[in-house]
Amino acid sequence: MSEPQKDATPQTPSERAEARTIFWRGFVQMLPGTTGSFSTGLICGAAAIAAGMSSLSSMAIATFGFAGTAQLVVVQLATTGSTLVVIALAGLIVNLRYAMFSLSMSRYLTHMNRRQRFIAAFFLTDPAYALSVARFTQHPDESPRIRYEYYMGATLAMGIGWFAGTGLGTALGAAMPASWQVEFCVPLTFLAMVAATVRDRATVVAAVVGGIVSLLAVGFPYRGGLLVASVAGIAAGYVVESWQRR
Amino acid sequence: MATTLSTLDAWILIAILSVASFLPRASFLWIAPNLPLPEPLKRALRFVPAAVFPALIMPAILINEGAIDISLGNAHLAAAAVAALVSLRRGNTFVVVLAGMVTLHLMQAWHASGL
Repeated sequence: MSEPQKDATPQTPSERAEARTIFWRGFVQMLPGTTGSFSTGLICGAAAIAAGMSSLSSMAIATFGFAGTAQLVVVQLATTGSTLVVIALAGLIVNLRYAMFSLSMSRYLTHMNRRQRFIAAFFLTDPAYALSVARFTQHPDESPRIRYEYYMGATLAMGIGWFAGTGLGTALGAAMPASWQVEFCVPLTFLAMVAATVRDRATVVAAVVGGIVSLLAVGFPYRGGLLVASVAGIAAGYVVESWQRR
Repeated sequence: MATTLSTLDAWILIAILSVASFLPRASFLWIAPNLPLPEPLKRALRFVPAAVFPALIMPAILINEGAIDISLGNAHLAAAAVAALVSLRRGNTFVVVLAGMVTLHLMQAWHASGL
């Protein structure tokens, strides 16, 4: 398997037409999930303003961080007077799941040039990852180039929801009523995606163990429980699959 | 006690989050894409999405004021249960989220009414 590394840019007109089609398919199929990124942005924007950040820095942290949960965690820690080291570690821990997604994605998105890999990495989000990998598993014959287009379409939809939400949240600031509880859209969005990731007995076990351990580990500092629960779920699924193979 | 961030604090925070978000995302997609992986690690990868999403969801629906709450009084649980049913009936994400949010507000209105 020593195929030469070439980039995934479409060459012929028919390739470009196919790429456009699949890009917009990813975009459209991600649209329902943008309710989650929009509401996360709304909360993050409002929280940044409430913490005393300017409109410019609220939009800047949303752009350069591009991470809803981690942004909420670091802003909250900063306003409660945590040290920089603690804030940085907490942000890193909350985002560590992206290293797992990054590894998983890199197996599907091969043959990309450096710029494409940078964009794919920078804008990696949970919903676009979940949607894309669900498609990649259902269509294993699609080329890396087609996969990249699909993922980029999904990512554009996520980005639009995120920046629209952040913009509105920043503008509304603390004026947004807490009683709306828009933050609950986030777990509901993930809930809608579970069915696509659970396919057989081993993945069911991974999901159940991940869920249970996350409850037991809920008191862990800096949302470290998420990481512990993920590793426990992955290990459980792995063990079940090993048993089944015998 | 919560304090208000200065301009300098805000930009330091932006720098910290940028690095803390980009490094994990870039790890394999950008920094080391061709790192050969042992077979067991590849197999383990298959379980990442299945394990992570329930771990993100469960605390948000079952933890109520710091403790596990499995009762009708937990409106988030009722909302998630309705959303899960809609999801199993192949409802799309938007319908799932809408069903969950409507249930959440109905349950809370019901509790507030004291009926």
